[in-house]
Amino acid sequence: MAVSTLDMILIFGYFALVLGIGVFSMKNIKDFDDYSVAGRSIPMAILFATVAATLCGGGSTIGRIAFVHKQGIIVLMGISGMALGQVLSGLYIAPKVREAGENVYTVGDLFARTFGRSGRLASSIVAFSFVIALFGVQILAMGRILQTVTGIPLIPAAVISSIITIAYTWAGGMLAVILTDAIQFVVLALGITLCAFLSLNQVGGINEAVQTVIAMGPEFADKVDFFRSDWSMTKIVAFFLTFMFGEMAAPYFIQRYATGASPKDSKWGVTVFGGYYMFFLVTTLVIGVCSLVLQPDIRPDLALTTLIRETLPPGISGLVFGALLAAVMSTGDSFINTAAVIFTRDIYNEFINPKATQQELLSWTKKITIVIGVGGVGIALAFPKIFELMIYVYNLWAPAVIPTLLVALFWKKGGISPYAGAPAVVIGLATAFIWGPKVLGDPLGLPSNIVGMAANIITMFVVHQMMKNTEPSRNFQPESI
Amino acid sequence: MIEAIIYISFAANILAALYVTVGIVKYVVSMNKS
Repeated sequence: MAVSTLDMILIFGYFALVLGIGVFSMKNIKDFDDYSVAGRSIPMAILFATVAATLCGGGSTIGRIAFVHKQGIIVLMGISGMALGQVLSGLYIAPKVREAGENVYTVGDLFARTFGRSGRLASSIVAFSFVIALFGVQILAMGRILQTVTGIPLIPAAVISSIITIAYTWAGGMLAVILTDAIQFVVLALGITLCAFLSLNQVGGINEAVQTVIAMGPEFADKVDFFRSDWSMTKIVAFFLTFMFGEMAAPYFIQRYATGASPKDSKWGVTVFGGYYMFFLVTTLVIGVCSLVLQPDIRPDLALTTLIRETLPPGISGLVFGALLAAVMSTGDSFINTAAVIFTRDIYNEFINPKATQQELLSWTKKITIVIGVGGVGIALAFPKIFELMIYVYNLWAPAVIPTLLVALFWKKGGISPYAGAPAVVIGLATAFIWGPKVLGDPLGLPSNIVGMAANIITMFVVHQMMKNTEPSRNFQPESI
Repeated sequence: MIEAIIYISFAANILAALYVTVGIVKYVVSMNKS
């Protein structure tokens, strides 16, 4: 499976480049603000790229093409929900986060402005668990891609890619994360386009490819239909909503919205990406359909990497493999950085040392980056089942946080009782967990995240009605940020 | 029609890559100046 020597040189050259970006960024970091939100200096074009790199990352691109192999182009229905979610986030959430104040770094900060310390604590525990779980998954994904490409065994491959990721994240913080995202996006967008174009030429065009797949039998024909015959409308709507809310306002996005040079940069960087995302998705679907024709029996998760090796010339394939690796790494780095910033800002700065200076916060975030990075790698490799369980948190983000976060951002100040925040987070999360596949198994075909969000909203309303005339105690006092 | 959408998507990817490249260069130059 290993690629050519030229490709190997390019891949390891890529590693050297991202480490160089870490060193370059380190020289430009003076305080916690620089380290956690890149000094709030990021222009629209780079904000566009960093959100793009997170959502068009290696893992998700490989996953989408694998999905075409397993279920077909119906994946478009789900991902168009994600694109709509990004457009709405860009138009409404991103500028609001950037306008919220010069001391907003985390989801917890936004909660604290409306729901006080209790809201900060509840949201930050969910946010921290969410990004740590995703980081654990990335460690193994990084290892698998490096293993696929170079032939290095999984554990050393995971360790090498993790060490490089932790090193530049520790050195350069959010600035390094964003710059590596931007470079990775450029290479990935060009590489994926070239791969789609060459694959399309090989199969003789899209119409011929679709006809070939249909001729392969009814099982294959379903895969090139936008509406699979075995998917009900309820299932399609649930699929759309799950993708739309799945990562909406996720902790790493909120942190990125705060990095914009102005609210306008945050707004249009994210909104334009949401519109563009459909074009990227169409490109990956083309690769998926060509892959069905060219390698119908391939293991779905190997479809993209095999196709890149087979269709792209040496040198170009190394660049695209490097971009895929960097894409997974740049998703992992963002989780480490976000987890460290959440811990420092929402736990250390709120509960341990409220008078910490910018320098103290910077020093703590760098230490926590190492602890989270090394600890995460150790646990992911020694006890992978822990992360397999934790990844379930991914499904609980929207029901636990999104309705309450939207109220914190858009409701008029003082319009909701500060007591309503923390219970809504807990009830939303618990309801989604109980309703979901682990306990009740999504009864009535209703997805657990939608039911959980409804429970969150009802809890906010009920607690607000009960407590609206009660003066908030210290832990519920809204903070001025 | 589908062919046109596909080629427009390819063009959008290339434009996006160019746009981001210009953005990176301008940002890094401005950082080095300040």
